[in-house]
Amino acid sequence: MSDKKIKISFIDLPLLIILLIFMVVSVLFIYSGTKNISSLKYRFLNQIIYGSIGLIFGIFLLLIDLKKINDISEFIYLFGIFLLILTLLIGTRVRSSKSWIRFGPIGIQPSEFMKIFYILFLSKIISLYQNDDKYRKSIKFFFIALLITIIPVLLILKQPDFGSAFIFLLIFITIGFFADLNSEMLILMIIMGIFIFSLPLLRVYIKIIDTSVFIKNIIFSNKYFLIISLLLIITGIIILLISINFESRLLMRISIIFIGVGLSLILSIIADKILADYQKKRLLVFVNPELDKLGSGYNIIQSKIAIGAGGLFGKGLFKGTQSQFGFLPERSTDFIFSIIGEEGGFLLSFGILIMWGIIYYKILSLIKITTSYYYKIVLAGIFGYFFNQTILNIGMTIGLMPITGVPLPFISYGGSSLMTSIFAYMIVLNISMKRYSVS
Amino acid sequence: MKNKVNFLILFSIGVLILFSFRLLNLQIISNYNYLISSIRNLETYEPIEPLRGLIIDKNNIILANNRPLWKIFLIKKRKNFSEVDQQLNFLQKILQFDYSSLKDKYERISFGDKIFISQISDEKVLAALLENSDEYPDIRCENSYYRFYPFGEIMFHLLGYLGPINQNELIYLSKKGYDRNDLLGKLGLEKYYDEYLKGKKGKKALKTNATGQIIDSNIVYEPENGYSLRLSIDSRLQQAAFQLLQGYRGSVIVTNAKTGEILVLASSPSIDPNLFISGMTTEQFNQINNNPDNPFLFRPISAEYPPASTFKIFMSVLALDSKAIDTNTKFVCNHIFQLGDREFKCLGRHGLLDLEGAIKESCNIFFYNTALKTSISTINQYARILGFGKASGIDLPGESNGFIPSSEWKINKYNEPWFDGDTLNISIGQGFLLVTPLQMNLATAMIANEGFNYLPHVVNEIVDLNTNTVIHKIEPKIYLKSNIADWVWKYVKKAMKKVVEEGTARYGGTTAEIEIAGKTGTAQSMGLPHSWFTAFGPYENPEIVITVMVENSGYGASIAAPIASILFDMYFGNKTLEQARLDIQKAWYKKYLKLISKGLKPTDDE
Repeated sequence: MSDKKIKISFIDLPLLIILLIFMVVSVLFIYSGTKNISSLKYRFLNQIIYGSIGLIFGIFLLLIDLKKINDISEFIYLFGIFLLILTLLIGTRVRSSKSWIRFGPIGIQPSEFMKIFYILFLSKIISLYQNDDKYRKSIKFFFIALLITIIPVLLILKQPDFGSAFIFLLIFITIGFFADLNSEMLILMIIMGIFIFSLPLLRVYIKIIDTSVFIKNIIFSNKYFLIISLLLIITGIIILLISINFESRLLMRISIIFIGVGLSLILSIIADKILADYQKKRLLVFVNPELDKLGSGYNIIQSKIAIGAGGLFGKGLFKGTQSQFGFLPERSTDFIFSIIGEEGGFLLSFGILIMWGIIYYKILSLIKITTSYYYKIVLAGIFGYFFNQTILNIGMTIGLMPITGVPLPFISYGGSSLMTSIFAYMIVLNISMKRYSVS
Repeated sequence: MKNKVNFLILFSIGVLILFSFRLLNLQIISNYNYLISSIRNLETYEPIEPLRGLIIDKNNIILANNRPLWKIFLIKKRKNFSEVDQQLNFLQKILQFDYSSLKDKYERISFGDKIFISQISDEKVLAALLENSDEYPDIRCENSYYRFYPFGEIMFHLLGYLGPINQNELIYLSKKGYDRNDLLGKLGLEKYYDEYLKGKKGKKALKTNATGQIIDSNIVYEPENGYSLRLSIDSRLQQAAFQLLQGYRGSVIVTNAKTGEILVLASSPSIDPNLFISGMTTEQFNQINNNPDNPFLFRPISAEYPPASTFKIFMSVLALDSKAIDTNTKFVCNHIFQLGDREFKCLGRHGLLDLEGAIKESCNIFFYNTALKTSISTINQYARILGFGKASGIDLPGESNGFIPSSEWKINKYNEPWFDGDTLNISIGQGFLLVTPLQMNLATAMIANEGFNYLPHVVNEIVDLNTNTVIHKIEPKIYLKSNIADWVWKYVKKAMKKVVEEGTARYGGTTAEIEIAGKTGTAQSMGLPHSWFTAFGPYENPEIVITVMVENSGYGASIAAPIASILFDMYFGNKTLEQARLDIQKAWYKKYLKLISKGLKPTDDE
């Protein structure tokens, strides 16, 4: 008992205050964004309910010994995978994605909860080898970690929810970076990722800007790209054989890059077939929203107008014309930061950035301070989750990032997203309290 | 690991600084521009349509006015056209519209913009539409007006009608403030005076939300309604004239000889202009368009005909004035006139005749002889003095020039010299000569006024009916004035009186009220001849000139002259059509007895 009392007083107060501020801001701006839409006007109430439930479970996570969760994290992970499969089987389709499972009036989005399940499980696996640097850095272990990542990623892609899947990959890269996973493979993975998106984006761009037929014929011909990728792969294999002969690590790296790029070009052709035009455009239009003014560019244009029109002090709560008169799309979910920008002005939106900065700083500092390797990896994963998702979301609203449709943690409307954020946050607070008890 | 943490701390601070600068740029530096954009999102300006000016006749009877109409628009609130499919299907149960072209338009316009779907003038349909308005939230209904012409086809050509502006018209009219949604006068006065009638648009500032729903609106400036036209037209006479033309193709023109005012400008067959406004079916349109009687043709001013014997009065003027003949000149009519190996005929066998007798009896032989004493160039010159061969400049679109041949023209066109036979034909108003009924009327007015006439006009005043002020008044203006000697005119006038009293029009040209003078004409044509009659009255102090032209109907005396007579009687006796008809019949019996006593037979021939 006395132990727990001590722990409560060790709680990181600034982080707790920020959490509460975020939740208040969230409810206010969800209300502001939806009060004129009769079918959505009780969203703010839902958010309060979800937030309260999240906090209740969160207190449990705050006080529990995380080691206990560590013990069962593989089951939690498998449970998450089960939920994701269930989503594909019995999920409800909202717009074009099947991301929800409905239980009566309550809908949950397993891909959100999976983020935290995944972080806990991957951290556990990595921390098993915390003293075996060599194995952790091996290609074999890289692929084991990748496998853990790729299973939820593929299940989420199937929904399809590209934004969430992308977040998993970013979390993986962040954890991999901290946990010293095979750096060459990490880099290769990033390069391949870039190349996979190159062709679909190039093609949709060419389509929009309308160039000469000659260039179009080349770019839209799968044959050319197939030949190029096969040449790259063959060259790579030849270099690989030579490198084995000469036992040259350098040549081996080069060969792997060749093969990787070649493979990713083939994947790129497949990606081009899978991705719909609007999805490609969404990834592209932030560069110049005018290219698709009525389609995907519309959201960015309206979001920038909203934020820009806010000025220093904002137009005042419930007084933004962009939000109140419906020009801002998705304004309680993906684009909630735009209302904050319009109605709260630079002061509030910059304030939100500062508070996120504090959260990042606190988590990263905690990685330095905490002695447990497992905690370090968990914190790194949570940092990856918060950082990448906020940057993608806010970046999207101010036109610096493509439209990925990821929610802003704590603030965007959505029970699953909100609870997941709260749980992750509570784990951070839990670990931050531990440092005192440990020392 | 510490280095990695430090790296990420720096990295995330870097990203946050970048984002902060972006916010600074958007919200502080470019704030004004985005504020303007956000206001522009919200506020749209819409024109407020002015009321088009009325058209009223000389007695303030309304000929064209505005009736309430509701325009139905589809507002773009959704990304894809398929999302409004259901609404449109529902709407289609209530009103008809062209569904097929909507999809394309829908995908081209921006959010909040609107597409015109249809219009409703029937209040019952409107009620049905409003009753179910929940079923189609993307549909907006706007108050407007449509043009209505109470006289329908009676005034079709004269008033014209309104139609949507087309691409070609827009190119040159856009400078004058027209835009693509405007209606434009397509014919007649609606076209000629469009700039006066249409008025100036007002401007309305609308606050709309992203789905195009209007939140607030206020007027930036009020529209200015169009000016109204007060015509010289007497709708009572116009109606009678049109009725008299029923079943015929032809025209009736009544003008005031002392002012140039046009009282009647009737053209038959005609079209009900209200069909254009309410939208006609393709079938209806094709029926009108393919009608061999060409109802679109505004016969009084646009159709060209050989003037036939009516031209003899103008030949007389020129022959006397150019001294080709004098009042004592006499020729013998033996029914046939020999020129070389060609024979030219007269309808009668008139014997020895002077000019007055020749006009009275409409003797061809006399004019053939006269023709040989003059030349085509003289005829051409005098025809121009009398106003033939050129448009008068009446305030209506589509006026034709008519045609006066010349020897040069014939050489150019047929590579053949001008023959005397051609002159002979011209002398009796046949051959290459073509005149419009309006030209005939104006030339007749010149005879009536003894040497001059007035510029014809349909509009008397352009008025602002709101303030009851006259914006522009059309004063009588001399159109043609000649130096031809007075006695020549007097001589011809007197001969024209004889035509009606005891000449070719002694039957048809009867009036109960006044003495009139005129000339019949029967133009050869495929089928029945064209029937002409042009006359003025009262003889002593000519006030109005009436020209009647009826295509393929019969003799001038039997078809055209009676129509003119009835109109004279209606005008001077202020009678109804039926009353005039009755009175003329009585007058004719009186005249019949008188003619019998003189030993004249009331025949129908020329």
